[in-house]
Amino acid sequence: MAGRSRWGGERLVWLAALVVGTVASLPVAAADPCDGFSWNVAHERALFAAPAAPVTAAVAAGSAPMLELDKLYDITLAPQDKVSFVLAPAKKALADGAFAGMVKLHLAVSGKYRVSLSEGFWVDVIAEGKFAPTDDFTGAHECRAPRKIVQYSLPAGDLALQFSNTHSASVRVTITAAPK
Amino acid sequence: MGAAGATLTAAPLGSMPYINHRDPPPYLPLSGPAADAYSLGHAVFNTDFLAAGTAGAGRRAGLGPLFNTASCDECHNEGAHGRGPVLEGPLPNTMVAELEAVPAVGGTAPLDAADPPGDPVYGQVLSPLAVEGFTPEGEIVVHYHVVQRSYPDGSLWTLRDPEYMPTHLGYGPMAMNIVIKPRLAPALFGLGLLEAVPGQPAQGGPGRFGWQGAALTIRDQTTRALSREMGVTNTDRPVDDCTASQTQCRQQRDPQAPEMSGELLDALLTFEKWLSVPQNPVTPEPRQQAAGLKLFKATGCSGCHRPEQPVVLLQPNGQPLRAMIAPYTDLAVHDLGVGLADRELSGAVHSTRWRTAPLWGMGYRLSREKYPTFLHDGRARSVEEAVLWHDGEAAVVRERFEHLPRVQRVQLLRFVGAL
Repeated sequence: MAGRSRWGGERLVWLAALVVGTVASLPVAAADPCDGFSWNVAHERALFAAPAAPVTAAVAAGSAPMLELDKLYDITLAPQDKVSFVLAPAKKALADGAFAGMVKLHLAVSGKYRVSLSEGFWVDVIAEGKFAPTDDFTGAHECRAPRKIVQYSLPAGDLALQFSNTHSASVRVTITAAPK
Repeated sequence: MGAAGATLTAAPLGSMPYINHRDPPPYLPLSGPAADAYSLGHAVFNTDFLAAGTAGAGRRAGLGPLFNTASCDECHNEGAHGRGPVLEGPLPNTMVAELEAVPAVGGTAPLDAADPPGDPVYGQVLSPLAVEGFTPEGEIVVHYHVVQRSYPDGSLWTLRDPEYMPTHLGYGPMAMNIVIKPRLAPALFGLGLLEAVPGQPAQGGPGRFGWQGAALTIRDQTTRALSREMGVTNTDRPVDDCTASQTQCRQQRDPQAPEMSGELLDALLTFEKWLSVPQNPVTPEPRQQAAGLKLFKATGCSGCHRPEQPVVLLQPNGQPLRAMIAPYTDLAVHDLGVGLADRELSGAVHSTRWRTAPLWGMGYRLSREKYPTFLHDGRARSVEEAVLWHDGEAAVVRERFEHLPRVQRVQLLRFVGAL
């Protein structure tokens, strides 16, 4: 059956998908859950397929470990109520049973960078004592390698990364330069 | 209208500068318990809930088993509109695919128009996600037919006319008499002020919340969304959207123990009630806006998108307040024609009636969103496209818009885009 639109002509329904009396779903091959990102994330996905370097995040800024670009890290976190953040997480949320921690990053060059996460938790990047604004983010709910990617415009220099509101005590993270 | 002794404000109430979009302010100063509740409600709004039974999750437990998103914020984006479909393909999980069963010919209409029966297997919402160990219900795929025409002056316009089809159905076929109702998460700005406009909707009649006015109150809309779209049961709606066919899902249910406590629900509602409307971060030029408003009225847009509404409300200190707000909506439901109608899977037109969407906050929206989409299903990629979709009762106004000289169309669209 079809219905007439305002511009004339019939709107055709996908009759091939109809079964008498019911609608079966379109026959679609099982999709890779990690294909759902709205950007080209091939580099990040490749990093997530590599071995991860273990790191323990700090509960205070002074002792935060330094990360490098283009490496996958398996970061052990602490119960969130034990963490002294540089700045209270920008996104206010209930933190029952959550884990958190801090790491550092040194950038030689300013530009756009991506922080890729294995879960949908919150990440703040702090530069010069302030939150770095987020450019954009993307995610794929059913993917864990990665699950969420946040892009920032970041200055050169030392930065602090705060992870908060995770539900796992360890998370995987990479930091990459965004493609030009 | 008007409470005796109520303070009357001079300027429209409701809009505030959003200096930090992650800390949206209330539209009136709050202090003490009200401020605490607003802050707690904001935290609840942002919380990613976890599956029921997750060890140590505390108040964060209760998500699913079937859901669209794990938090209110994931759809409503710090109170702003959700992300709509940029391209063809599966709808983003931040859009809700409501399902409604149309009665058979000769059958009776649903007793509650606000809560019509859904698919017998999939319920009232098709959930694209599920917690571990459960099967997601499916996805809705959108395909766009491109329509290109021209204005009387020869300028071209393009619209994308959507068709929706379920895919990856996890629990068997869907019935043919089902209407798929894709819904973009609307902005929550100024909800409490919309609720304070005098003239309560009649029970069973169109409400003022939701794209089709299905919800009478903020509480109604919120508790329904929590239980249906997040699977977070609450004191008002102690059951989620699992149907009798979904036995594994149903086994998780405990109507005696709602997953969100009354305290958290009240705090969430406090946040929504007091949330302000963001000012345009770029102050529009006053004379241009005045000229734009004149054109908005002359074209007839203001017939439904009413620039002003009165409100009567209780301030945080308990004192009554009379004020005017500038929501650009009459809060009424109108027939906008066949083109925008929800359709049954057979293609038959279902409902053509839509509540006039508020236009306040548009300037903020356009300043922040990379790919803004408009109307109930995000089919319109600009304010202009949204206008061109207006038909039915709005056909005459749309035709006037189309016949405006280009410079005036631009002026009118610029006005709306600066609200």
